[in-house]
Amino acid sequence: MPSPWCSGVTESVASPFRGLEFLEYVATSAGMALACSAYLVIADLQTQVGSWAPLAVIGGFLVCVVLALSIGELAGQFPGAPGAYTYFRTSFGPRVGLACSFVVLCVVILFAGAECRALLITARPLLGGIPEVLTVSFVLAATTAANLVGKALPRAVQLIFTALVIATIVGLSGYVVASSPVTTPQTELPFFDAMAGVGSAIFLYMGFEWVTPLGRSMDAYRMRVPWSMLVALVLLCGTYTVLAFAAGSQSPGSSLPHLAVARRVWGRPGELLMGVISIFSLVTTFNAGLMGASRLVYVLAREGHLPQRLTTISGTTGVPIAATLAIGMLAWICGMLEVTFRVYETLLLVCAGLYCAVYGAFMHACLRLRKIRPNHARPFRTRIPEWFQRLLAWSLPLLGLGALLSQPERRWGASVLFATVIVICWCGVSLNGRRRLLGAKAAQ
Amino acid sequence: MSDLRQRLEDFRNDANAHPRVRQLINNWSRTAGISATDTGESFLFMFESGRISEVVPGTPTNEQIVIRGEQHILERVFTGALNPASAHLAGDLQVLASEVDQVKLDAITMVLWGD
Repeated sequence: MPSPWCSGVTESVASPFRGLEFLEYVATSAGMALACSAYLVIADLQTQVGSWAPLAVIGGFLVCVVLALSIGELAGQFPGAPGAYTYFRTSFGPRVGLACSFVVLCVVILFAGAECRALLITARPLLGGIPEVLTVSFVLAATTAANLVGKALPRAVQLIFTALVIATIVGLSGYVVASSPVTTPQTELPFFDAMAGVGSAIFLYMGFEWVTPLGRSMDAYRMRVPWSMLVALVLLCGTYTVLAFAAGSQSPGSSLPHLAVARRVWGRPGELLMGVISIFSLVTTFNAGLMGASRLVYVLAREGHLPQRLTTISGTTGVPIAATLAIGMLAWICGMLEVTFRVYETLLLVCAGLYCAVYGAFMHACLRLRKIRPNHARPFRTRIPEWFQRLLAWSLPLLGLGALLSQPERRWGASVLFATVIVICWCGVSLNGRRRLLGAKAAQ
Repeated sequence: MSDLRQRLEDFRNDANAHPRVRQLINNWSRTAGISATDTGESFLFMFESGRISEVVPGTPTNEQIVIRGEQHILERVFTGALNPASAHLAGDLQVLASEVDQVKLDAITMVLWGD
């Protein structure tokens, strides 16, 4: 019921329908994970585990369901908090919290590079001979500009496009699967390949938890936010599984299976239509990722963990200009590296490896907070036995490692990049600690 | 008048007297609720036409912005003694609002009190 005090003042952001509000959470959660590079990962899974790819997708889904329940419990304890940093800081202290936040920022930037490749492959039939550098620069500049003027995509539009992408992929893939001859599945799958497959498949759901800071009321964290993540995961799992089956019946070599499926059913117009829908979903992911990451950079700078210049804001909109430009610039550099060296597969492996470790940390945080803050209000509590949560929390980094080392020809490159990111993050934390110590001494 | 309400009134007066804050909230209409989780005190106000309206007692229901925390945290945040970004990151201050609105709120405190 609307507040009598505020009735007739302004249009309310709060949805009048609980169901619609719930759907918006689902769309945000699913929309963040429905990035174009997910299709690249499905193509990689085909080469990695062959006809077991749909099972790997389901394996990743099951892991993420347990994870989502833990994240739901964390979100209920800190409603509206900006996610990872708050959870890790309160559970493990500021240094680990900061290190994990730096890792998340690095993943966002590396992920932007991989998304640029997905964009180029998707846009190729639409843009013809336009140079790759121009395409990537234009999309990143436009997204950064939209963020700089404080424009956010209306949630209703995101809801419609997420539904459209899912319905189109499921419909077309289902048709392809139904009309394809039944193939004999491989009989054997080595344990390491299975582990690597599940580790890579977890990447398909990456970002589903970004809905947690967006709850509109305390009540939302009781059921709607945690359940929205679960429903989003079910939708994503269904979409990716059908697509993985359909991709398995395609001729090898098609790097983006959803485009290949659309081409097979509707010919070139279908491929173009799917391309347009995918590009839109990619731009919304870019936009949301840029907004979330720039906010994280801004608040870390406000807290003194990053240079003070990054706290510069717009005088009229309040948008953190410097932080947005910094993230936009880093994403562009990563995009240019991708255009020049075509390293998106390595980037995807590193993102999967790092994010599996971050996801493991989420589960550890949930368990640790139960111990150190037993009386903290928990409007939502996961029913998964603690021993199982603990087992999965330790298994997730191993799954990530499996994904990281899954492609022999990229093993070295991925390991070096992985180690570089860890070193950069740890140096950032150490330098920050030293700077704070010097500042405290100077103040004394 | 309670301490928290007095702090909110002071915040409102400071913000309304600050030209950069008024520029920041110009063309930005939002209803806001403040709730102290330990004492149960709660207040409502509006951002409208480049000003913050009178602070009135009331429980937030469908407000576009809801800020919750223990009373001493809220008092320190609304007097500039505590960086709201730090309190928010530490989980001591809960801000339920869209991302764009959260950025705007933080920008207001930034303009008023710097770091």
